[in-house]
Amino acid sequence: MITYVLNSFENQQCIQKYIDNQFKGAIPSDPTNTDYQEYLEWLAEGNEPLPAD
Amino acid sequence: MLEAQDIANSGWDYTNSNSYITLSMWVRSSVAQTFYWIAHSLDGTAKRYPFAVTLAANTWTKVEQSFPGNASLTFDDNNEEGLRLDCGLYWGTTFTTSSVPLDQWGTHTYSERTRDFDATWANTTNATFDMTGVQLEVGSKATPFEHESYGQTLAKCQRYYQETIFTNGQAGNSAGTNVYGNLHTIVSMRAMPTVALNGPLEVNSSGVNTTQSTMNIASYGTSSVNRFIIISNFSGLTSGKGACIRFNANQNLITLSAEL
Repeated sequence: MITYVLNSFENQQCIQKYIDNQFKGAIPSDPTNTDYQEYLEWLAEGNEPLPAD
Repeated sequence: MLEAQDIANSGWDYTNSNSYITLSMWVRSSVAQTFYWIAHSLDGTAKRYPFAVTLAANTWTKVEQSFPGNASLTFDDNNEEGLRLDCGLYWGTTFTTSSVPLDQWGTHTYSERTRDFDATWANTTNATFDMTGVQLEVGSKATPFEHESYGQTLAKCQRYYQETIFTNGQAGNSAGTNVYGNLHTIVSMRAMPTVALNGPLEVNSSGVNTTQSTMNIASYGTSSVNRFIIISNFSGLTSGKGACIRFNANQNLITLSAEL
């Protein structure tokens, strides 16, 4: 299952992707990054990211 | 896949039916078959240009296919995907239709990408397909393949993917679990990259080696060249002490991806 976690550092955001709880990558908020585009589609389906621990 | 700006600025007058780009390559199939490939434009209303490639078994064949401009083609001047050359070896009929006309532009639809495929190649055990010398150029004729040095081609690939062993940083939090550092990419990447790991990293700080308990990295910044990173899930680090990522036995790396 795909999940995303929102991390932040000094007012900047980093989206971390997990598949079956395995870390897959840190995604930038760049509309031309295809992983970010995939994240936006995931949000549009009604999913919500998890907050950082 | 090609960036839209590379087509938009190529010199191809892509809305003019008398202007052409030409694809050329050498291919070899272990199974004789006709393959139906397509050029697929993605900006505006998506268009596709299906064409047939007929190959004899185990015979190197030069493929040359020209594509004329069309008034309905659109290529934006940006770094997103603009043109895709789909050289598929098999598509099922979910994606194909027998009546799709060849050698002309039409609207790209999910179920009518190209003409129905013969499944001979796909159904042959251990079938092989080789491709080399791929070139796309403006004009109606293919010219000889333009050889590049290994370094030139590698630098072009690094616009989309890189691997690095980030060297120096600093243990960055009082809990002793994080390393802060900066990444500088080898060449400017197509977009801000996704930063990942291909295995847990090992760090040396204050003369002690420690390995991540589980993989984790965060990446910040607004540049496709420089990224601030936080690598976490270490233990026993002292905040403020220098830290150096080491090659471990598995040679794990930081990967940066800005693929189309």
